[in-house]
Amino acid sequence: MNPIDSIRIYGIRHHGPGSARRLMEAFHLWKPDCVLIECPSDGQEALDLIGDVGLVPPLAMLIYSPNQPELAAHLPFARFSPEWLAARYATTHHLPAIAMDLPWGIQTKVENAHSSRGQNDPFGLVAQTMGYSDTERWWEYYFEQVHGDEDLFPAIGQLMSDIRKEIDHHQDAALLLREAWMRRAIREYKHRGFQRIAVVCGAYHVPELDVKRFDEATDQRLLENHHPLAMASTWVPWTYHHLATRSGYGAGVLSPAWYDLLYEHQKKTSIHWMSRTAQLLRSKDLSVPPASVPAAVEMAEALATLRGMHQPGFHELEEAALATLAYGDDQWLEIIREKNLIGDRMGKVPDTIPRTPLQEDFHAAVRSARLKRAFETPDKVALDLDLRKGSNHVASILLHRLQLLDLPWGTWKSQSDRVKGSFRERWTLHWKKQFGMRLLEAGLWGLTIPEAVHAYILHRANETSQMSLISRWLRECLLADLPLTSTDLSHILMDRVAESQDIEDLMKTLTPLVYIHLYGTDDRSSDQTVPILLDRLIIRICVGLPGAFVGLSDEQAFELPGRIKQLLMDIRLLDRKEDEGVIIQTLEQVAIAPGIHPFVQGALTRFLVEEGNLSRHHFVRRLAEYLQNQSDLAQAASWCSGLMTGAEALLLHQPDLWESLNVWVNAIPEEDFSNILPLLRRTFSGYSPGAKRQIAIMLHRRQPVTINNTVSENLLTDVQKAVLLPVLRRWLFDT
Amino acid sequence: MAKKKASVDLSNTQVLRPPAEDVYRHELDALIANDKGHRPEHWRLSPGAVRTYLMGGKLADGTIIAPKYIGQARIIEAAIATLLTDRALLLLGVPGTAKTWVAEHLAAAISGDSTRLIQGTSGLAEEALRYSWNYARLLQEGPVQEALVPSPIYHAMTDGAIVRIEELTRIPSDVQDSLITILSEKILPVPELNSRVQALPGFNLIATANDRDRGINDLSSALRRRFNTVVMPMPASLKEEVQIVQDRVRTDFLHTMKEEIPIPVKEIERLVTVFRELRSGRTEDQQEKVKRPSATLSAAEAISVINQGLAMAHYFGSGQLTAQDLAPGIRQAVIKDPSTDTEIWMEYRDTILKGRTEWADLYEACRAD
Repeated sequence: MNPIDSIRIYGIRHHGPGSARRLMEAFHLWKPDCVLIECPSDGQEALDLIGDVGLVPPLAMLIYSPNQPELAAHLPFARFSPEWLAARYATTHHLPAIAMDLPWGIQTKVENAHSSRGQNDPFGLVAQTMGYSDTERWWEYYFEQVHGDEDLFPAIGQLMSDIRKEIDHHQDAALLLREAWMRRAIREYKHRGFQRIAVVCGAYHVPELDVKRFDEATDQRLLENHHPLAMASTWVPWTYHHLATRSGYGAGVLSPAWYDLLYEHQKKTSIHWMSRTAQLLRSKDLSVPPASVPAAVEMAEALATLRGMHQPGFHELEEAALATLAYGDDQWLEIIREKNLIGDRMGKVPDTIPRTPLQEDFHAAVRSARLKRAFETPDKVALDLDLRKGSNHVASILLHRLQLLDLPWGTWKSQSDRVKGSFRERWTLHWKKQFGMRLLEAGLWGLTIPEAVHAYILHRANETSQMSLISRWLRECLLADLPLTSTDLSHILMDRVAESQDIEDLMKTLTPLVYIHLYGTDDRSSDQTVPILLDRLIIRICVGLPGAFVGLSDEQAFELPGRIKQLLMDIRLLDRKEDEGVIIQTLEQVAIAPGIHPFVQGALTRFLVEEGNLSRHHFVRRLAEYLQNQSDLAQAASWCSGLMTGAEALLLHQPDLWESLNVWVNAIPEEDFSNILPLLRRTFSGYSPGAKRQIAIMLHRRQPVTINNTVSENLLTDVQKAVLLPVLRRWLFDT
Repeated sequence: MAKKKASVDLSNTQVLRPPAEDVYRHELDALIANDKGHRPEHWRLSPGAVRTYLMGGKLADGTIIAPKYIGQARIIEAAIATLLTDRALLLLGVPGTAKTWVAEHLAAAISGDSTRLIQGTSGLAEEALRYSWNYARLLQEGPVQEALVPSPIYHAMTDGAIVRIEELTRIPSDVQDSLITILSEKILPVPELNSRVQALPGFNLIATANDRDRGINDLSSALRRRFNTVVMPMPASLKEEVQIVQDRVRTDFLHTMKEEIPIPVKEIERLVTVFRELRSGRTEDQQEKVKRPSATLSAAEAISVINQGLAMAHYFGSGQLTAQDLAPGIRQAVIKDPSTDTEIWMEYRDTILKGRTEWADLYEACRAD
């Protein structure tokens, strides 16, 4: 071990479960009386809270400047992180756990402080010379998986001192400062009289923390002119997903769930991992026989042997799972990676932990939006915002931002008001308890509300397959005054526009974009992308439109005409004559094509009449022909229903239509009529009270004709009269 | 002397395509001589040396091993690792992904013999997998061992060697299922002789199958789990794929022509680009996404489109391969299912092709087609 036995330096790999395990074994044997951890010393405040049982990793220690949120650092910890376990060891044994690294308040000021971490990769060199393509794998084989009694810490120290001799660090000011600061901390705790000081640091620093080799006065001189900015620190919940994608402070991890498993099951890891993967695949309806699990482990072991390794790493397990359990189909690989390599564990932070910057930012925003009272009352509060007033505008922006963050404090009353150029927005505010928790969790996306919204929405946009959601968020972002986010969203939309299969989704996507395009924004960049997006969307819609009408269920058929109407409105708002022509042409073809849902065909026929594309004369002929030739009554009723839904005006002003329908209805036998009654009711009940009244007046006026002539006694039985007339009356006057 | 020369010539000229173990005999011999790794029973090389044989490398004695497979080493490693286990190996992939080639070389490296081969067809009978009878002897001597005609699988079991089945999914399902006992129990019963064949260590099976073929006989789940499946990927880079297409066009088509025809490198590059973009769902510059049609659009199909185009140009056109000669072939290759693919192709044509100014001739040709 280290020559000065009152100090032992434990070189670990950040987030290395093997390191963590060996570190704990070493602690239990040596029983240190003080633990120094490589962690910026302005994180001490947070480190002191680590004994709180409510803290459940993965967590990130957040070190931030209350005045300059952009200077913050997230330091992630998992339950298998050696630093986490070292600090927990110290608190359970009532020992001091000291954050010994250069304060973040200095690191942010030193040039290249950030680059000194990720970029220079001395282990990469060693790994390459040993024939490993990436450092992660090399380290895993040699240090994380090897399980023996041998004490690896001195060996690691020796290896690192050889590596460090080869590298000239004198250019790296941040590294020199950090190591001098850590040496000073070690000396300080030695002077304080601790007998067994355990120093836990990244393996890379081990040789440079041997205080005997360095002159105290030189270190002092190096550090004297650096003064830290004031920083605060706290904990925020973190996820394995974040741990895997953002490296934060120190080394990141590609496969947290795998490391978690290595930490949990020290032996037979391969079997545990493979069984878990088999379960995962079964839960996704892939049949994986139990006998395949040992076969897959066998293959992973064969692969490991072929690659000259003691045990399979996750690459071998993954390849074996693919070949043996998933029949080589690599769509499963994504799922396996997502769940069993990255994992979905999320940390927890109790209420007692100090407020995070996001919470602070939220409260500041509430104050400047003058919504403090609404925030504090448990009741609903109605809010009428005049966007020309400063504080009202601020409130509107805040509420829109919170919507995007899935914090629906306010419900936006009339969505259309704003886009029609009005300056008013009506909201109902209701703060619920769970929003507090949501705000805390949202802390992992950013330190300020705009930052968190940006990260969160982009994350969601990348996850979702629905373009229409993204386009809605895009519009919301413009209302929420987040130009950068909207630019990014519009780029994502650009990317998706070609691959979406779902024509309905494409139509839904169009509407918010049309509003953005027409009613505008001050944002330049989206002004450029939106027209291109619209172009692409419309091409896709025009090409794909016929496909939207094929194979519809009843429910889908009822919704489609509304969507088509919206589409026509959107296209017309954009004044794109040529595309409108293409769409109308498609509608004309679909309206008479065989195999299309009759409801949709009826509705399309009405559109064509309303749009003037089908003359009155042709229309009446088509109607009569259709009703005569259609032997299936349900089909005909569905067609009529499509035709008549929302068509009050047509019915009132087209006597021919009235006549044709009348003839058709009268010819329906009684028992069949009761079958189609619910459908007809659904059709007419949507009419406005005014229209119903007018229809009733017309009925009344025409009564002599209809009742006396067409519907003569022999057609309308007494029973029919008794049943039908009250029903008709109720539909027409029921508001 | 002359006689000896003649006999050498005979062996070289009479065989159109000698098996891998003959072509690369010097490499295999050198690998055996230099092999220090542990060799599983009846394997001629250690697993590491098998990998070197396929991926290429330089041996301790300086022998250069040519790469047989150009692509990711992990594919080959997964294949070798499977053959080390109890399970058989299924190489799955679209045409033109070197399935057969890899299978042949694996068998040559592991067993020193790649000729134990069964070609899967829809008319294949169970006897072809197990054994059949020499009926003359059967009638004369009755069911005796000498009257039995062993299948390649039978041979592989008794020799502890690798046997190959090409196009496994073309074989009718009930015939396929007779492999289950062989693969799980490593036994082939011969009820007529009241005996059975027990496989020696080193016996294993490499099957190839085409996963995008329609109308194939999918493996039953019982048979499926006797295999580890390794999917052979499409060529990784545009350059690699253009090279493959060029080589094949040269050997398949151009050498049949009397006069010299230059290889249409530019057209091959454009065609392969179109195919790769539609296949991957992204433009080569990664900037734009495109929709993917149901067609495979493999290198093999690119080869046939080029060959067809060359034939059109040669016999009916200017003699030079132009966009007009290619356009019908492209459309036929892309649009396999008219109900969905037509739309995808039109969209690709009107957004991506149209946008490339130097491709204007191809765009016009496709539009006119």
